[in-house]
Amino acid sequence: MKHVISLILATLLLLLCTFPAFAEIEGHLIEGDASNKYGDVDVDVSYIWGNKLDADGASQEIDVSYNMSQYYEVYIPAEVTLKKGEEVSQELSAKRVVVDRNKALTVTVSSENYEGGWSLLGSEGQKLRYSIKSNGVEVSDNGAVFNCPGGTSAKTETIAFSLLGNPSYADMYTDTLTFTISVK
Amino acid sequence: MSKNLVILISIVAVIIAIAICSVVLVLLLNKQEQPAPPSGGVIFDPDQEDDKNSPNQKPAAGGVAISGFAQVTIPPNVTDINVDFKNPIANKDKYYMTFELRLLNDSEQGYEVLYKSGNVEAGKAIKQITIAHGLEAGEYDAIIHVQPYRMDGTSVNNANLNLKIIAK
Repeated sequence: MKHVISLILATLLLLLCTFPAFAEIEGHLIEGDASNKYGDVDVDVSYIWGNKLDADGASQEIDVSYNMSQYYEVYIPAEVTLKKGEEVSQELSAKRVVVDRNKALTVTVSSENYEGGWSLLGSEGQKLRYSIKSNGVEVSDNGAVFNCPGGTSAKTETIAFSLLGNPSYADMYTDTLTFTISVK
Repeated sequence: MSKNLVILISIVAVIIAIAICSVVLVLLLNKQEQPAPPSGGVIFDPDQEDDKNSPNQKPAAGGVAISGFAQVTIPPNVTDINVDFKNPIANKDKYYMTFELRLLNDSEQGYEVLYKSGNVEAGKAIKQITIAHGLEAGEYDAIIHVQPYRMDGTSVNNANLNLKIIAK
């Protein structure tokens, strides 16, 4: 009987040891890599072995460098619904901006439908004019709507949209804006 | 068969049954944690991977987050390159997006397309791409055209990210 109990306990112990392995079947590997902290960061580490001797007999000098590439995260207006007789404001902001000290993050706005002014197009090509203002100043095609100088990690500006004139007839009038982001 | 042997076999059988039930339970629980399939039947780029470094920020109302960089250095004359085409987690449940790498030139269109991605979910990024052809050593002006889409597949305003490609 003692042999039987010993055998049972040994079997139980063996099976219990396998449970942690089962729990890791769907485990998630954790990858740590400082070089991907902002997706485009290069970390260079160099070692220089010095020949300076201290009281203990030897020492080493280590130089460590850190190279940060330019990176940004900008929030652009995805869609704007214009209202007759009302100015509609949208935020354009930049967060986590890392650019060279003597450069700036700039954003301009453009549209393929721009012809002497901003235009919404109806289903049959009819136009409905609207305006875009940044800081109260009217913006034309490829005009600047945002500027964030180097050293400023975050900034928010407001862009104002206004409908000009009245539509000829009921329809869905739309335009697609392209925001061009540059570091220069 | 002796009584002790029967008891032994019974106990071992019970232990094995408990072990099997535990394994099945663990597998079932893990299966329930898997992410739900993409909404609206959208097919996402198989090369997208988790972007572990995107903070959980919420965009301004009506805004879409665009992530970019000003410059990338690649080896000359190779087509497999490292990039960081990221759809920030701030766009979760609001927008997925596509990325198109355009090399500026003197053609009528003004550029040639080196790479076009599939749909990228919020919180994901494409880190490695294969471009249409290698670039000789030098500096090139390019644009990353980012097109966001609502979850129903309709497009919204887009962005062009000016980029300097350095092949060296």
